[in-house]
Amino acid sequence: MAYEGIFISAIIFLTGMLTYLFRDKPNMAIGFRIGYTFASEEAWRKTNEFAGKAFMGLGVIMGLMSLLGNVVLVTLVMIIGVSLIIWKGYIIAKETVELEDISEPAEGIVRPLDKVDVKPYILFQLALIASYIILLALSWEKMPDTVATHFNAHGSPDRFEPKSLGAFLLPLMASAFILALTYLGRDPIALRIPRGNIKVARIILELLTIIQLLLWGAFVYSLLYNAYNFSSPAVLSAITLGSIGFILVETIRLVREVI
Amino acid sequence: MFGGAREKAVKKLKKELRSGLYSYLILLLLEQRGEMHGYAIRKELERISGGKLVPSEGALYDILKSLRKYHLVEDFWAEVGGRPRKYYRMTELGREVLGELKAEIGAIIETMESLEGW
Repeated sequence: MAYEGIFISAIIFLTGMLTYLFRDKPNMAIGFRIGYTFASEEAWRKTNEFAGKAFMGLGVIMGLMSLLGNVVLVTLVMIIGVSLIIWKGYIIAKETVELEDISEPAEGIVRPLDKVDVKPYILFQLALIASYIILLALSWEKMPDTVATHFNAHGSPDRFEPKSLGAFLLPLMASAFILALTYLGRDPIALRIPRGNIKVARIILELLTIIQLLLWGAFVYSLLYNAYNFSSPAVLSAITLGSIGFILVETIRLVREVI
Repeated sequence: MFGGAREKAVKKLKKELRSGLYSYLILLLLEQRGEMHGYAIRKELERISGGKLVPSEGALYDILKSLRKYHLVEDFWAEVGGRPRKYYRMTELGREVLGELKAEIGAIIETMESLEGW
């Protein structure tokens, strides 16, 4: 358990280190890459300097907590920490670009930027989250105090958590994180990578919604297993392979648009 | 001896006087001109005040952010010359609030005029 936490902490720390090292060079592979950071070199530098340091700090905190052996707490700190870093990084990048924008004259024909309508993505994701909460409420009494939250390739559970965390808090926080990222799509600049490309914004929103759907599938599977002894390696494989397949297809689409 | 204190007091009071006035002038400009870019707002304030009432870029950004927070102005991104640029326009609430502010400014001017040597 502790090794798992230390491994994730090391990845977070390494992410921070790379982000910090590449803070002076806008690029498509490493760093805090949103439409705003691609729109201004100053925004890129400021945001990546902050995010690099913050991710390194988060990695150290998570690493120390992992030594205490509480992997659930480490996961919660990771979700909260990553959310706060993304939110603050977004604000830094946005304000830097907006402030720069005020200092230069805007001359030429004014053409309002197209916006992606995020409402269908948000509503679909909210419906998924609501359906999980309803199912959870209906099944709460049938679930043991400790629930299975992870399964091996044969469909046997290999990790257990208290149900308030494993069936309620963790699923909800993970879903809220994806929902918040999707909500960022309301901003016509945030998801344009590279800037000006609305297709990229659409693919990112689709990708986030697919991730939300796959998370929902995994959480519902765990719930059915814990409350009703439902077990199906075939369904589990479908969720796993589906996740890999969908994410791969969307990532290829994304890469094709960006390169 | 009190040069420092005098400068400090003047700076502070000028800042206080101007901060509300800038918000009022920006709303007034947006009411008259419709949609405006931040740079154009600053340049226009510079022009009409003869360079005497010009907020810094940072101050203008903070004022616009605050007006947006109170839903008095709204912003939108537009493509100008191949680059995204941010424009501001007044909301209906902004129009209503400006109406009340105009009455307030009228009362201030009236009071000032009734005072000798202001």
